[in-house]
Amino acid sequence: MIYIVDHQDSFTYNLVHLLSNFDKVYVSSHSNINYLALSKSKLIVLSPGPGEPKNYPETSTLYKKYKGKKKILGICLGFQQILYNENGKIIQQKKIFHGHQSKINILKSSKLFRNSKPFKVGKYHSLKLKEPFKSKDTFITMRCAETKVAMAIENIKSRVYGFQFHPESFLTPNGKHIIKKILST
Amino acid sequence: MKKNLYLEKLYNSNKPLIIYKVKDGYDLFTDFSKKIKLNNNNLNIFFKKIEELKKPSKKKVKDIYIGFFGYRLLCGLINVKKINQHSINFPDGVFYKPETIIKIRKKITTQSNLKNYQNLFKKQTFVKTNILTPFNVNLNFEKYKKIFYQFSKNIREGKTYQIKVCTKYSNKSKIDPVIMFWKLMKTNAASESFMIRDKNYSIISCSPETLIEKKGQFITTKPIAGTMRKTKRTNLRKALHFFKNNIKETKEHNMIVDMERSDLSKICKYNSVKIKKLKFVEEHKHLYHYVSEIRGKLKKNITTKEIIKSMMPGGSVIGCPKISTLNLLNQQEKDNRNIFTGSFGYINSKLDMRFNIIIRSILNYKNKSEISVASGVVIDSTPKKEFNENYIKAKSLLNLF
Repeated sequence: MIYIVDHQDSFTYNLVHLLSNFDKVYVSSHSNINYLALSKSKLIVLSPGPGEPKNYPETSTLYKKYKGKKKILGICLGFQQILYNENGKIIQQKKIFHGHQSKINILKSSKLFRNSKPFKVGKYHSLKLKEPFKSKDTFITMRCAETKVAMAIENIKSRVYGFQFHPESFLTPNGKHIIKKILST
Repeated sequence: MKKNLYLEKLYNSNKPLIIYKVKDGYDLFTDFSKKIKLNNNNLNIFFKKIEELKKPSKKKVKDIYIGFFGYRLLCGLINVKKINQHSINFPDGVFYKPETIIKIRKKITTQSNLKNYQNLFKKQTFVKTNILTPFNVNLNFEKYKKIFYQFSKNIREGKTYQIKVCTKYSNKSKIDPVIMFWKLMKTNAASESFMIRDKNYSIISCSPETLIEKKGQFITTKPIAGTMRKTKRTNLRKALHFFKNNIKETKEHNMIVDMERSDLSKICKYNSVKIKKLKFVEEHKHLYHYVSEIRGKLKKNITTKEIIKSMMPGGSVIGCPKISTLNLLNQQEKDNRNIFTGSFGYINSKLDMRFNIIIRSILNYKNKSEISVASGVVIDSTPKKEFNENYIKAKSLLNLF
């Protein structure tokens, strides 16, 4: 089973349908976690959503509790939520790309996607990771080809992954392939 | 259209009636045996009644509920916090059960459950449209600009990705809704046009936007995001070229497509939600619209209430993400939107339904007419452009007075 922690986003059910290609999906609000269902899940997905990581303390608590114990994937706000808890700073950006399709580059640091060619993705984020970002185990693995903003992270040892872009958007043609890679780890 | 004596008598009576545009003409509903005023307390009872529509019946005109859900009712349905707004105490929603349906096509046909439906009216004295004061707009450009920059800030903070600011034009006036509706249909017979005439209020609308079309297990939505003004030098091809090459319009549209996919996905079978037509242009009297069509197959045992709750209020007229954007809007807007960005339509005995988004409409209540319009704040729009877009949208209705 896959557990989606929903941050009241208007894209969450696109994610549900995408993930349903692979496994049963359970969705709940970030403020109303079903721990029994969570304990049976192989993957926890932190959904996109409005606002910034510090608005969702329950999700931070959940992340810290399950990091290293279960595979975790963060999308957009979920991606920022992971970085926020890894001592990253999340800041506003000058140029905002809501609903924009961009090409992304895959960095050599990526274990999962290093053989993939650059691909196009849909973006909806107001905020971004402040850089330089330093961590012992969490590495930036993709960047936007235009803005160079961090687009993906991998922590292979703890099996924590994140995408700033939206694999569930119709603007990300190979979203299914991306999720398959995450599930294969 | 040919003169029809029964229709003429009906129009000149004071009988409540509803007209709804269909592909090849209009459907007219009257002789209402039930009228239900909705509020957040009786909404569940209403949805129970809806599920009872399925019971087999031998009536000529099968049971159908036709009417509207107002904006405030729909906010309540998805648990968006209510706040104090200026209100004219107009009902939050009204549904009617018609016993007579008249299909206005090349030929006019009537079906009724009543034997003497042709003789059931009192004559009414003719109401001429009478404008008592000029139109006033509730937000001048200065006030609009202030709200616009507040929302721009909210976008940079990530609280919303797109938000639609509503402005309202109103005057004191008496209107004959039937005459006004047919006048509007001559120039702008948009696909979701409708009219309601009741004893104490009327609504006239040339809405172009289909929110829900449910037939059997299939459900379709056709969101509009993107507006271009029509001039002598524009045409359909140029409009498509404009939208395709305009990054701002494209981004705004993409966002709505993803949001509607998600709203449908809540109630549809896995992998059944598909974009049928992506980004095409529809032509109207004063403007062009950028439209997409998305369709899905409903999960088994989904109720009417679940469908309404998932799809309304229609995302394209609110912004994205829906809940946090609604909260921001309700903090900022001082006037109740009433019918604006609510939905008008019907649910029939097969539990099939058709609902639009109530935009481009006139609400006349207590001798006051109001026309509301909204346009989107996204990160690359400017207050001047959006304020003007609101005016273009209101124009074809303001011209009726």
